[in-house]
Amino acid sequence: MVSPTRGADVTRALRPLNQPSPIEVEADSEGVPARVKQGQSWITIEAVHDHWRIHQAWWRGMPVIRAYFAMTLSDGRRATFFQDGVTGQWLRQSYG
Amino acid sequence: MAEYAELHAHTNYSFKEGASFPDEMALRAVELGYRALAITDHDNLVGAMEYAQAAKGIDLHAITGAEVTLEDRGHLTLLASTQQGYSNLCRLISFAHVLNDHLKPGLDIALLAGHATGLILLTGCANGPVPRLLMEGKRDKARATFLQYQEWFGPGNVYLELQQNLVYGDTERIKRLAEFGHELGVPLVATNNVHFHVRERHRLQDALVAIRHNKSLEEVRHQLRPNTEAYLKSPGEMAELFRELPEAISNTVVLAERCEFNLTSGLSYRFPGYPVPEGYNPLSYLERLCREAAVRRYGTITDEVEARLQKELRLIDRHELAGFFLIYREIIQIAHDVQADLGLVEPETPIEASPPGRGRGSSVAMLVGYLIGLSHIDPLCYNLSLERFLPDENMPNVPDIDLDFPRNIREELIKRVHARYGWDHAALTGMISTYKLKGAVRDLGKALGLPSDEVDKLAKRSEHAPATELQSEMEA
Repeated sequence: MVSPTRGADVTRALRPLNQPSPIEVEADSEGVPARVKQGQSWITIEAVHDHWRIHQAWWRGMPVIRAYFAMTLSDGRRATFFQDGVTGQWLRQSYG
Repeated sequence: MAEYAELHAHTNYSFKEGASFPDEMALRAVELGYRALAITDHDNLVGAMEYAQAAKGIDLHAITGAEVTLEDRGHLTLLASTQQGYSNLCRLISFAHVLNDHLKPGLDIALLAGHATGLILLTGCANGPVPRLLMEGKRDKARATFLQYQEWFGPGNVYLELQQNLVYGDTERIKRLAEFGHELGVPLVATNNVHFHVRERHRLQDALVAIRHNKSLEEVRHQLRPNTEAYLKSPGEMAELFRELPEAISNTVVLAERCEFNLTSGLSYRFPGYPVPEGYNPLSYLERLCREAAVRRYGTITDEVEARLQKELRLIDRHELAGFFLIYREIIQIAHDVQADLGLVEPETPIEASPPGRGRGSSVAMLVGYLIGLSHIDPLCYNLSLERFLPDENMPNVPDIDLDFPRNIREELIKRVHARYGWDHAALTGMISTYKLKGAVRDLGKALGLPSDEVDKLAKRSEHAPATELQSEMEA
């Protein structure tokens, strides 16, 4: 058997790529994000460029239902958020 | 209220792809306030008449069309605006099956050139050649392709099709198509690529795809639609999706009004003629054949035979059916020749004396039928009334003559009929199998990934009933 060239700590450091991270979002009456909390302050969403939906795996105990929004924040940065259709939670995730 | 016509929708006749019946689509369209709906099943028109009849009954303008698969697996949407367009669509679909593979049809795109009259072309879903080229950044090639369509169909008969199913990539595709359309000055039209009449039907649609692949839903999950948006949406929902391109919505109504062809009334079918010997027309030739057979049958043409023959020939002439009956007689003669070649009958035996087929139903009331070998029942002997089969007033339907031939001549008869009329004028009619309860339980069980022994047990307990009773069976 080939010995690992790095220490065992590397295994524990591995984690899934692009794991969604929870965020706090305020949405408008149509469910479109209006502002997002970053640290202690709120950042306004300048523009929503794209919106798409996923609704899959309904045959499993927990279907995957997400409403994605690709946007530009007021500070010029681009971001992609989605709202989980089962839990209602908002998460941030790179896409595409 | 926004006005919208859906111009791209699939019924269950997009086999193992569409999840709603034609009448469900039609009823839902009317509920949503539609005045027109196009059914565009994949590479066939199997459900077109059923849909047209359903729509007629509820005052919905039924547009006949199809989504055609090209040889490179790209898709185009074609709508029949005139009878000529319908005729061309039939031919194109036939070519796609006959010249390629009837299980995996593919149309040679060059054939569009000679069969475009009366058709309106929409550039298709994400898999259409033009949208695909634009997404690949091949703008010049997309332009050349689109201009070629315009040359074949005419500039006013080609529309850029925009679909917003809220799938990742749809927004970018619409943006590129809209820019392309504005640059070329060509019209845009919105469609929703409908695969089910209500959102809840998405589960069945997914299951059908799994069944088509003979796999479980989990195994085919990457081939399923990413969301549930391909349902028949309200005009308001569609207008909201295309709020930045309102012309794409209004153009659907403009297009729908241009599609005047009506499958329930626009076919203007004429009964076929028949090549007869010099000096005769189809009616007089039929009369000659009947008189010769009547002498053989009855020994002489009695007053009763003469009166009945005259009555029937008058009605046959009124309904222009002489050629129709002569073709039947010819097929019966071919069957007789097959029997003779197989040694089942003496060649010189007249066909009416030993009819190879067995007529049934109301057609056996005809003396003409008895004399040309269509039936072995003497209608005069049994005093059979003619009116049910051949009325004096207008006939609402084509006469229905069922002929059964013996199994032992079937294969050879089929070959000879095709040889006589040509493979493009004779065909075996297709049969569409529908689920019984057992089969539905087995296929859905497999799609859901249920343990096969449990599915088997459930299937065996299912009554011999149609699959429509599955819900009540599960609740029982």
